[in-house]
Amino acid sequence: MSDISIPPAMHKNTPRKPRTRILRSKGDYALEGFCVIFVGIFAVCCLIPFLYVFFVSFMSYNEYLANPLRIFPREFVLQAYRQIWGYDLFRSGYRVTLIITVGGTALSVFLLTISAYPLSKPHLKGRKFVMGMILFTMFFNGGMIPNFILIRNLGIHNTLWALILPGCISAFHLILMKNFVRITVSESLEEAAKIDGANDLRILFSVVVPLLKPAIATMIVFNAVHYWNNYFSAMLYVSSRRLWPLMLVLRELVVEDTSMVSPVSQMLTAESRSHPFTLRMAAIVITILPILAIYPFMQRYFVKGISLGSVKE
Amino acid sequence: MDSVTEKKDARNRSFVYFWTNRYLYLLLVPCVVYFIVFNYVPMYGLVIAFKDFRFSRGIMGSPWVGLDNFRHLFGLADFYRVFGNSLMLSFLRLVICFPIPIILSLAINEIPFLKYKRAAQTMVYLPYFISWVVIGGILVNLLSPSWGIINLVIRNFGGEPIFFLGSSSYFRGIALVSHVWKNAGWETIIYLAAITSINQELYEAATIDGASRLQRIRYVTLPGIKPTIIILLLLAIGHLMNNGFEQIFVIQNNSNLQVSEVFETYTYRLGLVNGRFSFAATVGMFSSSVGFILLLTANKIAKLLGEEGIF
Amino acid sequence: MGKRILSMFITVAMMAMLFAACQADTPAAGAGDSSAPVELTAVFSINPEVVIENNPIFAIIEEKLNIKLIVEAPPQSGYGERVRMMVATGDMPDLLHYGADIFATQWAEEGLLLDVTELIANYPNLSANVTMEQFGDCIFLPDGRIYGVPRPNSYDKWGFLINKKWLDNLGLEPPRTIDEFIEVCRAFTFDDPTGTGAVTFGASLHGNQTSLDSGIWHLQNDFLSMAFNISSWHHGMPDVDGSAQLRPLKSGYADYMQLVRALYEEGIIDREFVTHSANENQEKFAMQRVGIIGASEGNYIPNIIERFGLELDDYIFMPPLVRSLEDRPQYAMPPSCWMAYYVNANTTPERQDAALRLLDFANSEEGFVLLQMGIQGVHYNSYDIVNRTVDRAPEQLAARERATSNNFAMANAFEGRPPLQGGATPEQIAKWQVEAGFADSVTTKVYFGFTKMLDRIGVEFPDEVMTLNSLEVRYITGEVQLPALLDYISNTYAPRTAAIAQELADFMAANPARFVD
Repeated sequence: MSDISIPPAMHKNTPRKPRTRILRSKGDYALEGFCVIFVGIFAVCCLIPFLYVFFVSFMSYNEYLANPLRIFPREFVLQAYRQIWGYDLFRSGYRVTLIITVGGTALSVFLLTISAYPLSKPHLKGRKFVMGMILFTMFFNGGMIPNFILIRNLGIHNTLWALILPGCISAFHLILMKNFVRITVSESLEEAAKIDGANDLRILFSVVVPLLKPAIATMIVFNAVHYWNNYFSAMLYVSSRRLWPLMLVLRELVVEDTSMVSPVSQMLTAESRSHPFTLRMAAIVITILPILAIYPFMQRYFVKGISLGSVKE
Repeated sequence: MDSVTEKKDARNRSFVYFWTNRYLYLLLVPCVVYFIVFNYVPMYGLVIAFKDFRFSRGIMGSPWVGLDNFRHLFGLADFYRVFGNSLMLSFLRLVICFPIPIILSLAINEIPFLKYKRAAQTMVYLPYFISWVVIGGILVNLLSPSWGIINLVIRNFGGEPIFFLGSSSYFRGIALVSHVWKNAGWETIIYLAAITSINQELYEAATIDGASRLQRIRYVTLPGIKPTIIILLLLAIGHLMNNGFEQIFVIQNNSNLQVSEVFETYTYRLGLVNGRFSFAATVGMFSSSVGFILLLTANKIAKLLGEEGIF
Repeated sequence: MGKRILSMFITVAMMAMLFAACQADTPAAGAGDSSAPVELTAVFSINPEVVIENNPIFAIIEEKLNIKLIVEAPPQSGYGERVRMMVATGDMPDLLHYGADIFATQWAEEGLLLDVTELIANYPNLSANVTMEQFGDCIFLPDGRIYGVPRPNSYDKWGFLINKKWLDNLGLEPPRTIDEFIEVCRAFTFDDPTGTGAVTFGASLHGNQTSLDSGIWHLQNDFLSMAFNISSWHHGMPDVDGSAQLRPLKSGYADYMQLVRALYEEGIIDREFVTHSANENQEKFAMQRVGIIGASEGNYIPNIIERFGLELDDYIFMPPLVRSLEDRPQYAMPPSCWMAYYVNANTTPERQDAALRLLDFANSEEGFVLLQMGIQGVHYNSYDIVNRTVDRAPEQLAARERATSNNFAMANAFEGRPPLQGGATPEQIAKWQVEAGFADSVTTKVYFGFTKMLDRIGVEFPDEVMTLNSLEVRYITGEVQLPALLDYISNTYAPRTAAIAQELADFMAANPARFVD
């Protein structure tokens, strides 16, 4: 396919030849073109349903019923948003969710970083045991009842801690983070720091962490989304409605999820607690917008320009 | 590290080792404590799979029934069909859905226009935030034989409308496509972060050597993200027994039940009507054990092939 | 650089520590003397709109009954799960709202629930407003004891709603028989009833997929199946000859299945009903995609016409269909309860009494009105208990939503009737009286008891039930032929469930159905 044939010897650090002019071959252009089109089509497929959700949330329910396939509303109405805003629990839920998302994410990412670093050291004794122990928890857990009893015995039942601590260190995230440390940090760099007399703590915070920015940004996104979306802890560990996070509140107020609940709950919610489709769409928009607003600040750490620029023309 | 010439006290030696690495161990303490408290303290709950749970007596006080729960599980007439459905679907997921985020990430990474790249990456992860219940609703509207857009197109081209959701032959396709739609973009985050972590000098070197874009992907990017791919692959193999409840539940109905019934939905139905509180734990233990063994085996194979593996 | 990140981490970690201050306090248990109110812990399902703190209804209860309610209201979407976990971890409250299901049976067996059999007589409103038939829902064990107080509900009468505009456009009359129904469905499908060329169908059915004993069977489809003496929900409905049979063994079963298949095959009903999981049929009706759906006589105006913002005069309510005009339409009238209330067997007698006094009050006229409507002057202007109509302003209704809800009211029917009937406006009520009155005058009401033994079919034969469901639906969609379905029923399903079917027959012989014209 490519018209340039070059031996694959580029793993070694060949000396830099500045002033080399980079010519993109026809193959390169074709590849770029393919990527632009392929990603573009995928992105549009993802965007259209979301646009539908977005616009329907601004429709009146009657307009939706009259023409469910219409994408662009004839007139924008805020009916659905006003209704959601009118609920007391919506505001308290927003507050709770902000607190647990910010606090929980900070705590998780901090713990993930300091734990992943020692676990990435191949020579560290006991590392395998700890990894095995962590991996085991991905498959086996005690179930709801012992977890509930634990939360109660720790005295954090019905507190914000009950929403932050369970799931704070996810085994999956820890494994990912450890892998990121492995692939990012080279031993030589650390050895150099060691010779300068730095201890492991210093190396972690002044050498390793700055290199880990893409990984940390990823973990911030993952954990923030985890806390943002989590309603299950609150369903089990919190008895006061004032501590319900946003997701649980929206689930209760808006989502007529008859399909996901037991017949018992179906009977409970049978009483005129069914909500217009437009309200559900508004709930989705409310859920996504804050994440969408924060995302670019994290995205710049892992979606970067191609490093062609380092070679001067 | 250093060669031992004299015979020293072994205890002393391990103390020295520990002392040299004291900060590393210190860093591990919170994590180990966390996993012990939040995962291992409640682990006694696993015994519920071997008990006949009584509400008045709690987990420890309930009578032991040995392997009765497992015998009941393996004795269910539909068990083997459901087992087959589960494995079939998750195997297809592994083969079809697993590589797509990798291809997508590589493609995103090769886009030369930074703004386009970021906008596109933002768009592809959006569906992750739409819950399965809502996706189920969208699918019904989209695939409806009477009013859905897809069948509208089919009819305009003179075809017969297809009842996608009402036929078992389309179930797996719908499950796979909707899975990719919802998750592929989200999963690109991991791979893109891994690509960004690759030492930039390698790219420069490759460029100077005159490598084409395709060659750079092949000889720099792919080897750079290989450890990440392998870890995610191993975890995916470990979860071959799981299909996720919510997705299957929203596209399942009695007309495709023959192929759509998987472990999660099957035990959910049974749990609601048969009142066996221990049953979910039994099924969980069965599928976790299988998954864990699969993972350990796959990990071993990866190591034999010279890869790093998970641990 | 490193320092900045480190300090950032530390700051955020410290911030996290601050949240410890946010610990919620638990109410202190006060030792009460005789004049202090009795504290009663209760777990109820209460709509999320209701504000529990300083709730005015709770205050009135405290004043009237000397009971201080300490209420926990778990999320309704995970209510059952949460309640089961509370009981499993020994956190059972004094009073508990929960379904009369297999788990409640286990609790009764294990002695967690108070046996109220003899106590009921001491609480006159309770025994007056909850019938013995309804109490049957809480008889879990062969000992025949009553372990809970059901939440009484009114009798539902399921007929159908039809689009009158479509009928008028095509010059048709509302159908009364199955044959007429087929004709109307054909016209609604092929003759462009909207005049716009839109894709329409005659009718849609409810296709509940969630519970075991359902699939194509649901109350909302009774308007069609009752012509065959089959209630789509209740197996207690006697067969044509009066005998008690499981549904697949009823004499009209094969005819009914063939009818639905024929409708499906011709494409004159909305085929997608087999994928419905809830009330999609109602939305399609509102979208003018289908012309007929099942509807309950008592609430079709608020639940369908009001909710979807439809024109009152464009729709007519009709009684269930019949096979020939000589037959009378039938309403299946099983006793109806929405879950039940259970008193903790291991709490103090004082609290047990308080719990029963509360339930007694809720079943009195005064308590029923308070819990359903709220406080007079605040939540409504006047309430007419004879006609079940209320006069209230929209602001009052909004205030009521924050104070109480139907789900919180411990009785959903008083003297067998719902709190509100027909509609809200005089026009709605007038129309409702005509239509419901006509339907009522031509139908026979068939009353029969709870058939608790049938719950065991799902427990003992889950796979058989699921196989039958799957066969039924695939027969309708044309994947399976009738002999295969009937073979499975006669060779597998019937023999395995024979013992339970016998129990059903014995029960129905002892408690025969009553037919009221």
